[in-house]
Amino acid sequence: MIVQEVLDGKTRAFEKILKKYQREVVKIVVSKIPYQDTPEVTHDVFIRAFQSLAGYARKEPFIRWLRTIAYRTCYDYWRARYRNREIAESNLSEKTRGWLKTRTSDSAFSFSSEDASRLETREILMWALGRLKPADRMILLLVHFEGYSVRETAAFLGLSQANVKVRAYRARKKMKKELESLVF
Amino acid sequence: MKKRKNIEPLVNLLKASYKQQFPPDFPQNWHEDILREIEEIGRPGLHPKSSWLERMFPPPAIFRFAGAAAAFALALVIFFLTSGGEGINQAFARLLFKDPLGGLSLLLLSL
Repeated sequence: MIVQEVLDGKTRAFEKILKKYQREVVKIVVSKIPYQDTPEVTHDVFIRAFQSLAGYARKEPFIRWLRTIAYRTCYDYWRARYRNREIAESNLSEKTRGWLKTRTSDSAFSFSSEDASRLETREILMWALGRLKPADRMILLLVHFEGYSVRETAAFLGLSQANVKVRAYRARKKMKKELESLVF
Repeated sequence: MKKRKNIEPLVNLLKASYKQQFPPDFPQNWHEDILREIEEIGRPGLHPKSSWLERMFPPPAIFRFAGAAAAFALALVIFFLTSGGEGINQAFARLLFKDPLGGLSLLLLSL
């Protein structure tokens, strides 16, 4: 097994882990971290995985263990930025505000499937998430956007289930309120 | 009262956007950078086999035990130097031969 090879001192065998799981880790990171920081945070995930490899109990699939490290690294990224007050209260660009206004002017909102891949939509998503605390942000994404259970999310982030449950509810409510303030 | 529009379609749009993230281009030497860093970390011995002492008492426990023992020993020395040794001799004699519990409490009281 590759993990055993690495633990036995064949550090080059870690390249196999890199190649096998890079796509999965990048997929996790790119959706949670600003685009430009994705390579650096993905790098950190693999370094942390290497450093913690001796603690991998092998009772769960390796990918699940690696996912936990990836989620926690993303969580730590936001916590560090929040602590250092690096999260600026960004404002939406006029272009995005204008686009949203045209889409929400009807009595019922009308979004097309192409709208999801627009830069404006991405900007609104980042804007809304930027108004949440790091833990709330991660919990909202894991529970409401990715569909993980409260138990799974609590395990990924190292929080209690009760905490995740309360925060998931509050974070969703807050995000909706922020979006309402944009639209109405 | 003005009826508010349902915000749910916008939330669903953001969810769809979230799932459509495309990875950026990684630097060409990205793999090599990680492997180099890993080799640097791993060079001193990745996971050296621990001795029986380390397995029985993991390092933090050893430090805690050693710290407590050192503080206790220091207190004994100070007491011995200041009391001329009479009280502590009695306490140890009781502790070892007669009444361990009483001796221990006497020792603690004398400290």
